[in-house]
Amino acid sequence: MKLEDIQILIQAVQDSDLVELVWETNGARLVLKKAGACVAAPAGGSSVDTQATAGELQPNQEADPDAREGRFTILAPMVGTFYRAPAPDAEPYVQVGNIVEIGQPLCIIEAMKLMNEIESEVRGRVIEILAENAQPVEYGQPLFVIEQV
Amino acid sequence: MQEQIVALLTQANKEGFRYISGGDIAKELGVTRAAIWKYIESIRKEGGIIEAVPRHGYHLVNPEDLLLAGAVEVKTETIGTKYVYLSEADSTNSEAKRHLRQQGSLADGLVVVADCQTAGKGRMGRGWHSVPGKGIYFSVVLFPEDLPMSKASLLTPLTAVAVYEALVKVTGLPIELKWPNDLMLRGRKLGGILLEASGETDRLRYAVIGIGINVNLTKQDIPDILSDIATSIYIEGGKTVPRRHLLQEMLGFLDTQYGKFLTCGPEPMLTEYRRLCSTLGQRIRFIWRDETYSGLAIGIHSDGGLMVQTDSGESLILRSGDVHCL
Repeated sequence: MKLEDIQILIQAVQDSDLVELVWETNGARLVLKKAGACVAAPAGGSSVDTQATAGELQPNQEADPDAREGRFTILAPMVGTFYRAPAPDAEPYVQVGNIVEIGQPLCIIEAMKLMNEIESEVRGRVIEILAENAQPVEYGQPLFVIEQV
Repeated sequence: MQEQIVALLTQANKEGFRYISGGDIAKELGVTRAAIWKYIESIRKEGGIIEAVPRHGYHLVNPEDLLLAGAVEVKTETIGTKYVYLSEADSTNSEAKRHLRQQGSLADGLVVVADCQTAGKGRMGRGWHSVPGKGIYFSVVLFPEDLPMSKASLLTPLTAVAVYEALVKVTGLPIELKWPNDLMLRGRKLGGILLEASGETDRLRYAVIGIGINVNLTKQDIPDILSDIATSIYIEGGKTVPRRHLLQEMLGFLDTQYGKFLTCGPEPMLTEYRRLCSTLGQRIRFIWRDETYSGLAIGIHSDGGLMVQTDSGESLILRSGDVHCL
Protein backbone atom coordinates (compact mmCIF):
# COMPACT_ATOMS: atom_id res chain seq x y z
CA MET A 1 0.00 0.00 0.00
CA LYS A 2 1.43 3.35 -0.97
CA LEU A 3 1.52 6.51 1.12
CA GLU A 4 -0.86 8.21 -1.29
CA ASP A 5 -3.38 5.41 -0.82
CA ILE A 6 -3.26 5.90 2.93
CA GLN A 7 -3.70 9.64 2.55
CA ILE A 8 -6.73 9.08 0.31
CA LEU A 9 -8.21 6.70 2.88
CA ILE A 10 -7.64 9.19 5.69
CA GLN A 11 -9.40 11.90 3.73
CA ALA A 12 -12.27 9.53 2.95
CA VAL A 13 -12.70 8.66 6.63
CA GLN A 14 -12.49 12.30 7.55
CA ASP A 15 -15.20 13.29 5.10
CA SER A 16 -17.50 10.49 6.21
CA ASP A 17 -19.44 9.70 9.34
CA LEU A 18 -17.25 6.67 9.94
CA VAL A 19 -15.63 6.45 13.32
CA GLU A 20 -13.20 3.71 12.49
CA LEU A 21 -11.94 1.95 9.39
CA VAL A 22 -10.01 -1.32 9.39
CA TRP A 23 -8.35 -2.22 6.10
CA GLU A 24 -6.62 -5.53 5.55
CA THR A 25 -4.76 -6.38 2.42
CA ASN A 26 -1.92 -8.80 1.64
CA GLY A 27 -1.23 -9.33 5.28
CA ALA A 28 -0.96 -5.64 6.07
CA ARG A 29 -3.49 -4.14 8.45
CA LEU A 30 -4.35 -0.48 8.70
CA VAL A 31 -6.61 0.93 11.40
CA LEU A 32 -7.88 4.48 11.06
CA LYS A 33 -9.81 5.98 13.92
CA LYS A 34 -11.28 9.40 13.71
CA ALA A 35 -9.80 11.86 16.18
CA GLY A 36 -12.35 12.67 18.87
CA ALA A 37 -14.27 9.49 18.36
CA CYS A 38 -14.88 7.48 21.47
CA VAL A 39 -12.76 4.44 20.93
CA ALA A 40 -11.97 1.70 23.35
CA ALA A 41 -8.36 1.59 24.52
CA PRO A 42 -6.51 -0.78 22.23
CA ALA A 43 -5.47 -4.16 23.55
CA GLY A 44 -1.89 -4.13 24.71
CA GLY A 45 -2.34 -1.05 26.81
CA SER A 46 -1.23 1.68 24.44
CA SER A 47 -2.92 4.84 25.57
CA VAL A 48 -2.59 7.26 22.72
CA ASP A 49 -5.21 9.84 23.47
CA THR A 50 -7.16 10.52 20.33
CA GLN A 51 -9.45 12.80 22.31
CA ALA A 52 -6.77 15.39 22.54
CA THR A 53 -6.71 15.84 18.79
CA ALA A 54 -10.41 16.43 18.62
CA GLY A 55 -10.24 20.16 17.93
CA GLU A 56 -12.49 20.58 14.96
CA LEU A 57 -15.01 18.02 16.03
CA GLN A 58 -15.92 19.80 19.23
CA PRO A 59 -18.91 22.13 19.16
CA ASN A 60 -17.88 25.73 18.88
CA GLN A 61 -18.08 27.12 22.38
CA GLU A 62 -17.75 30.69 23.44
CA ALA A 63 -16.59 31.92 26.82
CA ASP A 64 -19.62 31.21 28.90
CA PRO A 65 -20.75 33.92 31.29
CA ASP A 66 -22.75 32.51 34.14
CA ALA A 67 -24.84 35.49 35.14
CA ARG A 68 -25.97 33.98 38.43
CA GLU A 69 -22.51 33.54 39.83
CA GLY A 70 -20.74 36.25 37.83
CA ARG A 71 -18.17 33.71 36.73
CA PHE A 72 -16.50 33.38 33.38
CA THR A 73 -14.84 30.27 32.11
CA ILE A 74 -12.03 30.93 29.65
CA LEU A 75 -11.95 28.15 27.08
CA ALA A 76 -9.07 27.02 24.90
CA PRO A 77 -9.52 28.73 21.50
CA MET A 78 -7.40 26.12 19.77
CA VAL A 79 -5.80 22.71 20.11
CA GLY A 80 -2.28 22.86 21.45
CA THR A 81 0.01 22.70 24.46
CA PHE A 82 -0.89 24.82 27.46
CA TYR A 83 1.83 26.86 29.18
CA ARG A 84 1.31 28.96 32.26
CA ALA A 85 4.54 30.95 31.84
CA PRO A 86 6.36 32.52 28.88
CA ALA A 87 9.47 30.40 29.57
CA PRO A 88 10.23 27.36 31.74
CA ASP A 89 12.07 29.45 34.33
CA ALA A 90 9.69 32.40 34.26
CA GLU A 91 6.92 33.27 36.68
CA PRO A 92 3.44 32.09 35.65
CA TYR A 93 1.30 34.73 33.99
CA VAL A 94 -1.35 34.35 36.71
CA GLN A 95 -1.95 32.51 39.98
CA VAL A 96 -5.18 31.60 41.70
CA GLY A 97 -6.35 34.69 43.60
CA ASN A 98 -4.81 37.22 41.20
CA ILE A 99 -6.94 40.01 39.82
CA VAL A 100 -6.68 40.16 36.01
CA GLU A 101 -7.61 43.01 33.70
CA ILE A 102 -9.25 42.77 30.28
CA GLY A 103 -6.53 42.04 27.76
CA GLN A 104 -4.07 40.71 30.33
CA PRO A 105 -2.27 37.53 29.19
CA LEU A 106 -3.37 34.43 31.09
CA CYS A 107 -1.35 31.69 29.40
CA ILE A 108 0.23 30.51 26.19
CA ILE A 109 -1.14 27.80 23.96
CA GLU A 110 1.42 26.50 21.52
CA ALA A 111 0.36 24.88 18.28
CA MET A 112 2.62 24.35 15.29
CA LYS A 113 5.35 26.44 16.98
CA LEU A 114 3.00 29.40 17.15
CA MET A 115 3.01 30.75 20.69
CA ASN A 116 -0.44 32.15 21.28
CA GLU A 117 -0.89 34.46 24.22
CA ILE A 118 -4.44 34.10 25.46
CA GLU A 119 -5.82 37.30 26.95
CA SER A 120 -8.53 37.65 29.52
CA GLU A 121 -11.84 38.86 28.18
CA VAL A 122 -13.03 39.98 31.58
CA ARG A 123 -11.77 41.79 34.64
CA GLY A 124 -11.88 39.64 37.71
CA ARG A 125 -10.27 37.28 40.16
CA VAL A 126 -8.78 33.98 39.05
CA ILE A 127 -10.75 31.34 40.98
CA GLU A 128 -9.49 28.19 39.32
CA ILE A 129 -6.82 27.08 36.88
CA LEU A 130 -8.11 23.94 35.24
CA ALA A 131 -5.33 22.89 32.86
CA GLU A 132 -1.91 21.58 33.71
CA ASN A 133 1.27 23.28 32.58
CA ALA A 134 2.95 21.80 29.46
CA GLN A 135 0.05 19.44 28.75
CA PRO A 136 -2.08 19.26 25.61
CA VAL A 137 -5.45 20.98 25.66
CA GLU A 138 -8.42 20.50 23.37
CA TYR A 139 -10.45 23.07 21.53
CA GLY A 140 -13.08 24.38 23.91
CA GLN A 141 -11.47 22.90 27.03
CA PRO A 142 -12.03 25.07 30.13
CA LEU A 143 -8.75 26.69 31.22
CA PHE A 144 -9.56 29.34 33.81
CA VAL A 145 -12.51 30.32 35.94
CA ILE A 146 -12.62 34.03 36.62
CA GLU A 147 -14.99 35.69 39.04
CA GLN A 148 -15.93 39.19 37.99
CA VAL A 149 -15.17 41.88 40.55
CA MET B 1 16.74 61.19 4.79
CA GLN B 2 19.25 58.45 5.51
CA GLU B 3 16.99 56.00 3.71
CA GLN B 4 16.95 58.22 0.62
CA ILE B 5 20.73 58.54 0.63
CA VAL B 6 21.14 54.77 0.91
CA ALA B 7 18.68 54.40 -1.97
CA LEU B 8 20.67 56.86 -4.14
CA LEU B 9 23.98 55.16 -3.37
CA THR B 10 22.47 51.74 -4.06
CA GLN B 11 20.99 52.96 -7.32
CA ALA B 12 24.33 54.50 -8.39
CA ASN B 13 26.05 51.21 -7.65
CA LYS B 14 23.48 49.24 -9.62
CA GLU B 15 23.72 51.49 -12.65
CA GLY B 16 27.46 50.96 -12.78
CA PHE B 17 28.41 54.49 -11.74
CA ARG B 18 31.14 54.09 -9.24
CA TYR B 19 30.79 57.46 -7.54
CA ILE B 20 28.07 59.93 -6.75
CA SER B 21 29.17 63.34 -5.52
CA GLY B 22 28.07 64.89 -2.26
CA GLY B 23 26.94 67.92 -4.27
CA ASP B 24 24.66 65.82 -6.45
CA ILE B 25 23.13 64.07 -3.45
CA ALA B 26 22.66 67.41 -1.69
CA LYS B 27 20.96 68.93 -4.76
CA GLU B 28 18.74 65.89 -5.27
CA LEU B 29 17.55 65.86 -1.67
CA GLY B 30 17.60 69.60 -1.02
CA VAL B 31 19.99 69.60 1.93
CA THR B 32 23.52 70.84 2.60
CA ARG B 33 26.67 68.86 1.81
CA ALA B 34 27.53 68.96 5.51
CA ALA B 35 24.26 67.23 6.31
CA ILE B 36 25.02 64.58 3.70
CA TRP B 37 28.40 63.95 5.29
CA LYS B 38 26.72 63.41 8.66
CA TYR B 39 24.36 60.83 7.18
CA ILE B 40 27.21 59.08 5.37
CA GLU B 41 28.91 58.69 8.74
CA SER B 42 25.82 57.15 10.30
CA ILE B 43 25.36 54.75 7.36
CA ARG B 44 28.96 53.68 7.91
CA LYS B 45 28.22 53.06 11.59
CA GLU B 46 25.38 50.78 10.57
CA GLY B 47 27.53 48.59 8.38
CA GLY B 48 27.64 50.44 5.07
CA ILE B 49 31.13 50.48 3.55
CA ILE B 50 31.38 53.82 1.74
CA GLU B 51 34.45 55.03 -0.10
CA ALA B 52 34.84 58.77 -0.40
CA VAL B 53 37.22 60.06 -3.08
CA PRO B 54 37.94 63.79 -3.44
CA ARG B 55 36.43 65.29 -6.62
CA HIS B 56 34.57 62.05 -7.36
CA GLY B 57 32.25 61.51 -4.46
CA TYR B 58 30.87 58.56 -2.59
CA HIS B 59 30.70 54.91 -3.53
CA LEU B 60 28.79 52.25 -1.62
CA VAL B 61 30.93 49.13 -1.74
CA ASN B 62 28.58 46.56 -0.22
CA PRO B 63 24.98 47.27 -1.21
CA GLU B 64 24.34 43.56 -1.72
CA ASP B 65 24.99 42.85 1.92
CA LEU B 66 23.27 45.86 3.40
CA LEU B 67 19.86 45.46 5.02
CA LEU B 68 19.35 49.19 5.69
CA ALA B 69 16.09 50.79 4.72
CA GLY B 70 16.66 52.21 1.25
CA ALA B 71 19.02 49.42 0.23
CA VAL B 72 16.35 46.75 0.40
CA GLU B 73 13.92 47.05 -2.45
CA VAL B 74 10.41 46.30 -1.36
CA LYS B 75 8.19 45.37 -4.27
CA THR B 76 5.50 43.76 -2.20
CA GLU B 77 1.80 44.41 -1.66
CA THR B 78 1.78 44.10 2.11
CA ILE B 79 4.86 42.66 3.75
CA GLY B 80 7.65 45.19 4.15
CA THR B 81 5.62 48.21 3.10
CA LYS B 82 6.67 49.59 6.47
CA TYR B 83 10.31 48.75 7.09
CA VAL B 84 12.40 49.37 10.18
CA TYR B 85 16.13 48.63 10.33
CA LEU B 86 18.19 48.47 13.50
CA SER B 87 21.90 47.78 13.71
CA GLU B 88 21.17 46.00 16.96
CA ALA B 89 18.05 44.75 18.75
CA ASP B 90 17.47 42.48 21.72
CA SER B 91 15.24 40.43 19.46
CA THR B 92 13.33 41.56 16.40
CA ASN B 93 10.14 39.95 17.76
CA SER B 94 10.41 41.97 21.00
CA GLU B 95 11.16 45.10 18.99
CA ALA B 96 8.17 44.49 16.72
CA LYS B 97 5.91 44.02 19.74
CA ARG B 98 7.20 47.28 21.24
CA HIS B 99 6.25 49.02 18.00
CA LEU B 100 2.78 47.55 18.34
CA ARG B 101 2.41 48.80 21.88
CA GLN B 102 3.66 52.29 21.08
CA GLN B 103 1.73 52.85 17.90
CA GLY B 104 -1.36 50.81 18.60
CA SER B 105 -2.90 49.22 15.58
CA LEU B 106 -0.61 49.34 12.59
CA ALA B 107 -1.18 48.38 9.02
CA ASP B 108 -0.46 44.80 8.00
CA GLY B 109 3.09 43.97 7.07
CA LEU B 110 5.51 45.91 9.29
CA VAL B 111 8.99 44.40 8.94
CA VAL B 112 11.65 44.87 11.62
CA VAL B 113 15.19 43.91 10.60
CA ALA B 114 18.24 43.83 12.83
CA ASP B 115 21.85 43.36 11.79
CA CYS B 116 22.39 41.63 15.11
CA GLN B 117 20.29 40.41 18.00
CA THR B 118 21.69 40.55 21.53
CA ALA B 119 18.95 38.30 22.95
CA GLY B 120 17.62 36.39 19.97
CA LYS B 121 14.66 34.27 20.91
CA GLY B 122 13.94 30.62 20.33
CA ARG B 123 10.93 28.75 21.53
CA MET B 124 10.02 28.66 25.25
CA GLY B 125 12.76 30.95 26.44
CA ARG B 126 15.51 29.27 24.43
CA GLY B 127 18.01 31.54 22.73
CA TRP B 128 18.91 32.08 19.10
CA HIS B 129 22.58 32.72 18.34
CA SER B 130 23.08 35.82 16.18
CA VAL B 131 26.24 37.06 14.44
CA PRO B 132 26.49 40.72 13.29
CA GLY B 133 26.68 41.20 9.53
CA LYS B 134 26.39 37.49 8.75
CA GLY B 135 22.84 36.46 9.42
CA ILE B 136 19.40 37.76 8.60
CA TYR B 137 17.16 38.40 11.58
CA PHE B 138 13.76 39.89 11.00
CA SER B 139 10.16 39.92 12.12
CA VAL B 140 6.94 40.47 10.25
CA VAL B 141 3.82 41.80 11.94
CA LEU B 142 0.48 40.67 10.54
CA PHE B 143 -3.09 41.62 11.32
CA PRO B 144 -5.04 39.06 9.36
CA GLU B 145 -8.65 40.23 9.53
CA ASP B 146 -11.26 37.72 10.63
CA LEU B 147 -8.78 34.93 11.22
CA PRO B 148 -9.99 32.83 14.15
CA MET B 149 -7.31 31.78 16.55
CA SER B 150 -7.90 28.14 15.72
CA LYS B 151 -6.60 28.89 12.22
CA ALA B 152 -3.69 31.12 13.27
CA SER B 153 -1.31 28.18 13.38
CA LEU B 154 -1.61 27.93 9.58
CA LEU B 155 0.79 30.89 9.52
CA THR B 156 3.48 28.38 10.52
CA PRO B 157 3.40 26.25 7.33
CA LEU B 158 2.81 29.44 5.33
CA THR B 159 6.02 30.99 6.62
CA ALA B 160 7.94 27.75 6.22
CA VAL B 161 6.91 27.40 2.56
CA ALA B 162 7.80 31.02 1.75
CA VAL B 163 11.21 30.91 3.42
CA TYR B 164 11.96 27.53 1.84
CA GLU B 165 11.12 28.86 -1.63
CA ALA B 166 13.35 31.91 -1.15
CA LEU B 167 16.27 29.86 0.19
CA VAL B 168 16.12 27.34 -2.64
CA LYS B 169 15.80 30.07 -5.28
CA VAL B 170 18.79 32.01 -3.97
CA THR B 171 21.11 29.17 -2.93
CA GLY B 172 20.08 26.16 -5.01
CA LEU B 173 21.03 23.98 -2.04
CA PRO B 174 19.12 20.80 -1.08
CA ILE B 175 17.22 22.40 1.76
CA GLU B 176 14.80 20.29 3.75
CA LEU B 177 11.62 21.45 5.38
CA LYS B 178 11.05 19.49 8.55
CA TRP B 179 7.60 19.57 10.16
CA PRO B 180 6.43 22.00 11.25
CA ASN B 181 8.89 24.77 10.40
CA ASP B 182 12.54 23.77 10.65
CA LEU B 183 14.78 24.61 7.71
CA MET B 184 17.52 22.03 7.54
CA LEU B 185 20.59 21.38 5.45
CA ARG B 186 22.17 17.94 5.67
CA GLY B 187 20.52 17.32 9.01
CA ARG B 188 21.52 20.61 10.63
CA LYS B 189 19.45 23.66 11.30
CA LEU B 190 19.89 26.52 8.87
CA GLY B 191 17.18 28.78 10.11
CA GLY B 192 14.51 29.14 12.70
CA ILE B 193 11.02 30.52 12.72
CA LEU B 194 9.30 31.68 15.89
CA LEU B 195 5.71 32.82 15.75
CA GLU B 196 4.03 34.76 18.50
CA ALA B 197 0.42 35.75 18.47
CA SER B 198 -2.06 37.28 20.81
CA GLY B 199 -5.78 37.57 21.07
CA GLU B 200 -8.95 36.67 22.83
CA THR B 201 -10.67 33.34 22.37
CA ASP B 202 -11.82 33.73 18.83
CA ARG B 203 -10.17 36.81 17.52
CA LEU B 204 -6.52 36.93 16.59
CA ARG B 205 -5.27 40.41 17.40
CA TYR B 206 -1.89 40.14 15.76
CA ALA B 207 0.80 37.68 14.81
CA VAL B 208 4.54 38.35 14.86
CA ILE B 209 6.64 36.04 12.72
CA GLY B 210 10.32 35.98 13.65
CA ILE B 211 12.78 34.53 11.16
CA GLY B 212 16.48 33.94 11.67
CA ILE B 213 18.68 32.57 8.90
CA ASN B 214 22.33 31.58 9.25
CA VAL B 215 23.59 33.08 6.00
CA ASN B 216 27.32 33.76 5.87
CA LEU B 217 28.40 32.37 9.23
CA THR B 218 31.65 30.43 9.21
CA LYS B 219 32.30 27.33 11.29
CA GLN B 220 34.08 29.58 13.81
CA ASP B 221 30.96 31.73 14.15
CA ILE B 222 28.93 28.80 15.44
CA PRO B 223 29.54 27.99 19.10
CA ASP B 224 30.88 24.48 19.75
CA ILE B 225 27.79 23.56 21.68
CA LEU B 226 25.66 24.16 18.56
CA SER B 227 28.03 22.73 15.95
CA ASP B 228 26.17 19.42 15.71
CA ILE B 229 22.78 21.01 15.24
CA ALA B 230 23.40 24.30 13.42
CA THR B 231 24.92 25.20 10.08
CA SER B 232 24.88 28.06 7.55
CA ILE B 233 24.45 28.61 3.84
CA TYR B 234 28.13 29.54 3.60
CA ILE B 235 29.31 26.42 5.42
CA GLU B 236 27.21 24.11 3.25
CA GLY B 237 27.40 25.93 -0.07
CA GLY B 238 30.98 27.15 0.11
CA LYS B 239 30.25 30.73 -0.92
CA THR B 240 28.74 33.81 0.60
CA VAL B 241 25.23 34.86 -0.33
CA PRO B 242 24.22 38.54 -0.62
CA ARG B 243 21.97 39.09 2.36
CA ARG B 244 19.97 41.87 0.75
CA HIS B 245 19.02 39.63 -2.15
CA LEU B 246 17.92 36.80 0.14
CA LEU B 247 15.90 39.13 2.38
CA GLN B 248 14.12 40.62 -0.63
CA GLU B 249 13.25 37.16 -1.88
CA MET B 250 11.94 36.10 1.54
CA LEU B 251 9.76 39.22 1.78
CA GLY B 252 8.53 38.60 -1.76
CA PHE B 253 7.60 34.95 -1.19
CA LEU B 254 6.00 35.74 2.17
CA ASP B 255 3.94 38.46 0.52
CA THR B 256 2.78 36.14 -2.26
CA GLN B 257 1.88 33.32 0.11
CA TYR B 258 0.10 35.65 2.52
CA GLY B 259 -1.90 37.29 -0.26
CA LYS B 260 -2.92 33.89 -1.61
CA PHE B 261 -3.85 32.75 1.90
CA LEU B 262 -6.14 35.75 2.44
CA THR B 263 -7.88 35.46 -0.91
CA CYS B 264 -7.94 31.70 -1.59
CA GLY B 265 -7.69 30.16 1.88
CA PRO B 266 -5.02 27.73 3.07
CA GLU B 267 -5.40 24.88 0.57
CA PRO B 268 -3.00 26.05 -2.19
CA MET B 269 -0.34 26.70 0.45
CA LEU B 270 -0.99 23.36 2.16
CA THR B 271 -0.69 21.52 -1.15
CA GLU B 272 2.74 23.07 -1.57
CA TYR B 273 3.65 22.35 2.03
CA ARG B 274 2.74 18.67 1.60
CA ARG B 275 4.96 18.50 -1.46
CA LEU B 276 7.93 20.11 0.30
CA CYS B 277 7.73 18.66 3.81
CA SER B 278 10.52 16.12 4.10
CA THR B 279 9.04 14.59 7.27
CA LEU B 280 6.20 12.99 5.30
CA GLY B 281 6.73 9.29 4.64
CA GLN B 282 9.43 9.10 7.31
CA ARG B 283 9.51 7.09 10.47
CA ILE B 284 9.49 9.45 13.44
CA ARG B 285 9.71 9.49 17.20
CA PHE B 286 7.80 11.95 19.31
CA ILE B 287 6.67 12.62 22.84
CA TRP B 288 2.98 12.73 23.59
CA ARG B 289 1.69 13.33 27.10
CA ASP B 290 5.09 12.49 28.59
CA GLU B 291 5.38 9.19 26.70
CA THR B 292 7.58 8.41 23.74
CA TYR B 293 6.00 6.96 20.60
CA SER B 294 7.27 6.00 17.21
CA GLY B 295 5.37 5.76 13.98
CA LEU B 296 5.06 6.80 10.37
CA ALA B 297 4.33 10.39 9.29
CA ILE B 298 1.59 9.91 6.73
CA GLY B 299 -0.07 13.23 6.09
CA ILE B 300 -0.62 16.91 6.79
CA HIS B 301 -4.02 17.77 8.20
CA SER B 302 -6.00 20.73 6.90
CA ASP B 303 -4.85 22.71 9.97
CA GLY B 304 -1.19 21.87 9.37
CA GLY B 305 -1.03 19.10 11.99
CA LEU B 306 1.10 16.06 11.27
CA MET B 307 -0.90 12.85 10.79
CA VAL B 308 0.89 9.90 12.29
CA GLN B 309 0.28 6.18 12.21
CA THR B 310 1.82 4.90 15.42
CA ASP B 311 3.54 1.54 15.62
CA SER B 312 0.68 0.31 17.79
CA GLY B 313 -1.73 1.01 14.96
CA GLU B 314 -3.32 4.20 16.17
CA SER B 315 -3.72 7.21 13.96
CA LEU B 316 -3.36 10.63 15.55
CA ILE B 317 -2.58 14.20 14.66
CA LEU B 318 0.35 16.07 16.20
CA ARG B 319 -0.02 19.79 16.64
CA SER B 320 2.80 20.62 18.97
CA GLY B 321 6.09 19.35 20.27
CA ASP B 322 9.13 18.16 18.36
CA VAL B 323 9.46 15.17 16.12
CA HIS B 324 12.69 13.30 15.47
CA CYS B 325 13.21 11.50 12.20
CA LEU B 326 14.48 7.95 12.70
